[in-house]
Amino acid sequence: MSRTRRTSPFVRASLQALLLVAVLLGRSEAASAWDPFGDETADAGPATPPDPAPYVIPEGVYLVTDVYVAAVVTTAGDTTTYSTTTMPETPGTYARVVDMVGTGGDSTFDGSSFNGRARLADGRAVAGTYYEDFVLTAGGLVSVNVVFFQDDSDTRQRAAGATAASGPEAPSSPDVPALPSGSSERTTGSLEPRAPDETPAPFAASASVALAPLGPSLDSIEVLRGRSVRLWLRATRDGVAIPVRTWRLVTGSTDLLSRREGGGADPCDAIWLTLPAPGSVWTLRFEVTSELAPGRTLMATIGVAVRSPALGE
Amino acid sequence: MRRDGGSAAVMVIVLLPFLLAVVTGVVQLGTVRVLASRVAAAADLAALAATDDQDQAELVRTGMLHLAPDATAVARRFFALNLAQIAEHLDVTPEAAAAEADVAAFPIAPAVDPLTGWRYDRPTVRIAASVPVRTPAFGMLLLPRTTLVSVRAASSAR
Repeated sequence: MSRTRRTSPFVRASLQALLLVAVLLGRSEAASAWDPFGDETADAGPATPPDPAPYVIPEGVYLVTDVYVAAVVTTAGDTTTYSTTTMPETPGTYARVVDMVGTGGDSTFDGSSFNGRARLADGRAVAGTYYEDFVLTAGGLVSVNVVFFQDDSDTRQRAAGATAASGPEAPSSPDVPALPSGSSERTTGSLEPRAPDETPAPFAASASVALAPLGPSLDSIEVLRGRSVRLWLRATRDGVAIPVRTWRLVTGSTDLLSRREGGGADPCDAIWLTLPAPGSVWTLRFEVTSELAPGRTLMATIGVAVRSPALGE
Repeated sequence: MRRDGGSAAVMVIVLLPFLLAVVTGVVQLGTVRVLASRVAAAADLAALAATDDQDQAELVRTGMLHLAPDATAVARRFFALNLAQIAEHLDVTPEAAAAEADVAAFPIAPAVDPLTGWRYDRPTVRIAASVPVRTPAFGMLLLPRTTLVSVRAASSAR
């Protein structure tokens, strides 16, 4: 006699409950907390381009800390010295040595430097070094000019009529590499000291402030309190106006200023609300650079007297 | 003992016109003083407005503040505009009062004003005006119905 096994109602209910739980678990999905901004469209904002890779200055190119001022020819007794004067200044440009030439030697850069290359009395070119100047732009270094630093001397022999051209000395500036000693050669024949005016003349450059793009340069101005004044930076080379490449306000106080730096086509709009102390003026000082005054950082200064309409008597 | 109640009433009746005349005169005098202050303010503000109108071309050329060529016209125009606020108290129109005013510009300093003798160390605009204001209460007292208010104002950028 077979005996049918029957499950108790309790077991059957438990199995049904387990089956229900298993079904629910199988259909469940992960529950997340309510996101109050979930219905908003995602906006990552303007795409920020990755930072450009830092530009590596090529080897042999260095930051200029001494700039060319003038080529100088001096005569002491029988010796005529051809040298170059510099002044310590950091215009932010770069340079490299492109050629070093001895006395009478030819260079592929002859005629390409903006200051030329002097010649000895016998017609030979003086010794020295050619430098190429660069400005650093977003695209890298851009060549702007070539300058020749002369470094030579002649000594006239009274008795024998022979003249020795001594080797150039190393420039004192650490940024100006020394010429190799002995790069010049001995020579014979009568040499006359060269007149100073046969060397390229240094140019005079200056900067100033005007109240119009073509307005006259002004050392001081009067402005009404609260009135906007448009300042234009100007530059001149040997008295001739040249385009301004960049300008930057170095020192000075204004209450409202449109910009602290800009290009030659960008004016500087300023407003003064504060009156200076009685008898004094506000002074603005700008740094100005120009393509036609390479290696120079020109300074422009202007005094500003702030006035206000007032009753008299 | 005599009663003086009737005497006091008579005295009041007799003196009342005099008292009213005094009170009216005092009120009108106060009104004139207020009007004089407002005319003076109108001249001051007009001179300031004219000084604020500088010659931009000269500023660009020299860097120095110069009075605009039309400084006197600007001063006269603003004087009339300012007088318009009290036009109902004036015996002439504001424009006529401003037209009658002596407005002078002294673009070059130092200068001495021939009218006032004032010395100006800065380019100056000066207004001298006599503005007739109505004084009807004075008329009731057999005084002139208009009173001339004379003002002088000078302004420079300092």
